[in-house]
Amino acid sequence: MAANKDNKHYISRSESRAIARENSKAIRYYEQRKKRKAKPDEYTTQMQDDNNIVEFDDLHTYFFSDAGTVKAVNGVSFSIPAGSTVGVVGESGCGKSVTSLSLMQLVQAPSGQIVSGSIRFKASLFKRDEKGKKIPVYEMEDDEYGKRFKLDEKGKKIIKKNELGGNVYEMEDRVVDIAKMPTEAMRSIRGREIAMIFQEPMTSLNPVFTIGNQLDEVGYLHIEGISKKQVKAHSIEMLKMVGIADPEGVYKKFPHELSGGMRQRVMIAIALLCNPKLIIADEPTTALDVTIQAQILDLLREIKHKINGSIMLITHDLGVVAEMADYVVVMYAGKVIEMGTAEDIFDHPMHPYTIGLQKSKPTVDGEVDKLYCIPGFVPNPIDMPDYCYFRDRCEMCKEKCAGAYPGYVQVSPTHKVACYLYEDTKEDGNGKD
Amino acid sequence: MEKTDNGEVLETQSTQTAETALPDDVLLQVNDLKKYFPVAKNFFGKPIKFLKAVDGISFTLKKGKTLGIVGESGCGKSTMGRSLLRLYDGVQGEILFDGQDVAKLKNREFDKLRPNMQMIFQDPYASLSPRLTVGEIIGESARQHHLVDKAGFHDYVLKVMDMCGLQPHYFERYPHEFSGGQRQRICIARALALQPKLVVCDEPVSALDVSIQAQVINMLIELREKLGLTYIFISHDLSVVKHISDDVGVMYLGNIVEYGSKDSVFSHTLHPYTKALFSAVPVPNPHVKMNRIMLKGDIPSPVNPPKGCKFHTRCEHCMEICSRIAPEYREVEDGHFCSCHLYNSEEDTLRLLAQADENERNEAIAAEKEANKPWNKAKAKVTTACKNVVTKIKNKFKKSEQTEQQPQEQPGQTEDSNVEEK
Ligand SMILES: Nc1ncnc2c1ncn2[C@@H]1O[C@H](COP(=O)(O)OP(=O)(O)O)[C@@H](O)[C@H]1O
Ligand SMILES: Nc1ncnc2c1ncn2[C@@H]1O[C@H](COP(=O)(O)OP(=O)(O)O)[C@@H](O)[C@H]1O
Ligand code: SF4
Ligand code: SF4
Ligand SMILES: [Mg+2]
Ligand SMILES: [Mg+2]
Repeated sequence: MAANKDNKHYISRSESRAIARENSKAIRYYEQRKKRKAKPDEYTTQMQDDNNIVEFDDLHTYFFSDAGTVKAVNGVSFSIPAGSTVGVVGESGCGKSVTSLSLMQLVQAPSGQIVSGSIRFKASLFKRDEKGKKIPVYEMEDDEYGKRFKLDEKGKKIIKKNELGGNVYEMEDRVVDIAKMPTEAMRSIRGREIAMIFQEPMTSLNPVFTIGNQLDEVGYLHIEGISKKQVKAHSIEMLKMVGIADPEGVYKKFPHELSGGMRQRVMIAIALLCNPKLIIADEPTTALDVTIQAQILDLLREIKHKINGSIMLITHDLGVVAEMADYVVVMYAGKVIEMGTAEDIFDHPMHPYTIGLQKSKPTVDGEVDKLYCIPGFVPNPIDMPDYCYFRDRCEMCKEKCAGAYPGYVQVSPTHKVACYLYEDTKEDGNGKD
Repeated sequence: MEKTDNGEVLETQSTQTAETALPDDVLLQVNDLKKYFPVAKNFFGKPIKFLKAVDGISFTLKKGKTLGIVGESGCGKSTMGRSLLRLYDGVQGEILFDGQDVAKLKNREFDKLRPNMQMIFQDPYASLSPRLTVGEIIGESARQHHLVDKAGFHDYVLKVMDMCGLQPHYFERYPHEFSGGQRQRICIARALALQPKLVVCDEPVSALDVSIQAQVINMLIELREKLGLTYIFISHDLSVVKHISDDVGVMYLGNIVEYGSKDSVFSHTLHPYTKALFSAVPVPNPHVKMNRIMLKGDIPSPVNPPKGCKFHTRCEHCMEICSRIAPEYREVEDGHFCSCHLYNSEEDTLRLLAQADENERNEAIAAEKEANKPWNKAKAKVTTACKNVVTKIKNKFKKSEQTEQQPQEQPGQTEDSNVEEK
């Protein structure tokens, strides 16, 4: 890096070649790991706390780029309790989306790879026989000799149907580590147990197919054995559920014929098709007007209630988080710097960054003469410093902050912060425990 | 439209009348500003249908003050800003800027005025030329307008850059090397290099992160104080508008529905739309339970806005009169304007109702006249004939009960084919 002193991002040709070599080696290793054939036991683990449905544990997701390794997610740990909404906040580029994409195994490969750490997820998976096939549940009937398989005219066993008309298979509950799961196995979780809603619905909807086509397709994919008529009925049912007044009309329309708010409703309908346990909403209302945002947030709350699931809500808007979230995770430069309940974060913010973020946003009901300004900008993600990533912008910086990256301090049973200012509180906290 | 057809004549006339007296402290007065985009043309290329992006806006802006414009996307905020700067043709209405009517000036004369009115856009990535250095971008138009000579160019640009928080060594760098916040500073510097009096800021911080937003907002306020600038600050972010503005105008479908000082608009809101808009903003405090007014549905299309009050399709206070006649834009309280029938006096209501009656009568007469034209009469006959045939067929087969949509589609199709045959 010393080759050109003016520009610290300068990379000489030999350096660039070395980076490329390292990258292709790393990428090959991680790609092979994802393609391997693995028995479910290899990626089965245990939840640390049984109330959670997701636990991120020291997750590292890197991008092996030509300019060097971007540590987009650099040791993230937090959990999503069942039935709760967890808000993930932070400025753009801090790794919110990459964290959620890691959970779906959708990080842009080959350059983006989950490097280490684990993502534990409480899944209910299809039970498989020795050949890896799903085990169907058959219709039974009673006669004088006891229980027997019910047979159709051709003498074949009849597979039991669920209320939607899909086949019923034997299921098993299993805690899996998504970070270690092969891509193949991830298919049965993605979209079925975890669904995702993005900021710009237009990019995830196909412009040349009608809304109905796209809903039906997802239905066929995830509800095996469902008939054409049933899938359409189910799609329309979902459109009704997300508050679309004219579901039959919308079913026949193309995405570009709908407004932004309607498209986002359709995306939510698609996410709901398979009754997921967890919905990841990545900036779901950022592209919408406030009045439409209010409608969509209302809908998300209602939906969560109906499916009795959890929401991971990613946003940069503190107002949205305060309104929606039970727990808040604040991220900065690929790390979680503070987390706690919504009350913890908004009533007693502790990390200088969290405090600064809250002070720098004007509010509709308050009045300030001058907005607080966090000086400077986010450090370059390719060569992060060894010390606290916020130190160059921090106004409360102490001598100690020049040392290693600060560890977490548990300031209350629910509230954790990574900052040297609260080290004394840690001892108090430990004493009380 | 008439203006563009015989624009020459009008312009020569206007040079005498363009000097219009404004009170000393007023920089800009806008009267009944309109900008219609043609969306459909007839066979001869004459526009027959318009998108009324800005549909009659009036306001007065004092020197050194900031007017905040809020409203949902598509309500015409940007179009209004751009119309003020003559970035569109076919703008109607009066724009009195510093004693001159901008809308009527000749191009050559307007060029002289142009540096006085500048604009900053939302997307700092799209609005900077990638081939010029930062210094050239900032100084280029200042040199074109002879605000600075060749010798003083470098110093002049550095002075402007310093004002906008840009370090001197950025002079030789290219815009792609900068983050969004820095680029927006470059855009601001480029506008300020022309020593404008009025700066129209169109969503200048919407694409920036919160911490960077605060930096840019603080800088804009500082510059306003230092240089005595007047801003029109367009944003969909109510909290930002509240922070920076002295006056606030709320737009809905091409109209300003409420206008007044910041305090009166925010703490004594009059218009139902403004109330709903304000209540929809999420507050960063988990203990606040919002008393939210949920608006039903989406904003209607500006091509076919609702009749009467344009907001009546979503308004919770909608009355009978609202769908019949548009409310008048009037001063409800001192300096606080609003257009809503809720604030009519009894006489107003009676007068407006009478007017609505008359309008409806006239419309009915016009419609009848239209229907009595020979071509339309023939068409109506054919339509009824077709309908009769269709009902006969329907009765015969009695299939139609199964699905509801089919019978609706059938008459249309038969109609067309029959007309063609004749
Ligand atoms: N496909 C990619 N290739 C290289 N770097 C990426 C890619 N996607 C994201 N990154 C980097 O990862 C970091 C985190 O990105 P992201 O999670 O999208 O941020 P956000 O918090 O805004 O969602 C950023 O520094 C970004 O530059
Ligand atoms: N050049 C154009 N041609 C046709 N219609 C336009 C044009 N520019 C804007 N519009 C329409 O005018 C309306 C107002 O747009 P705009 O002023 O950009 O709204 P805002 O800035 O409030 O979001 C929108 O319905 C938009 O589609
Ligand atoms: S550890 Fe030090 S530098 Fe980092 S945020 Fe805390 S006080 Fe600031
Ligand atoms: S005029 Fe009527 S419809 Fe329009 S805002 Fe007022 S009360 Fe509502
Ligand atoms: Mg993102
Ligand atoms: Mg705009």
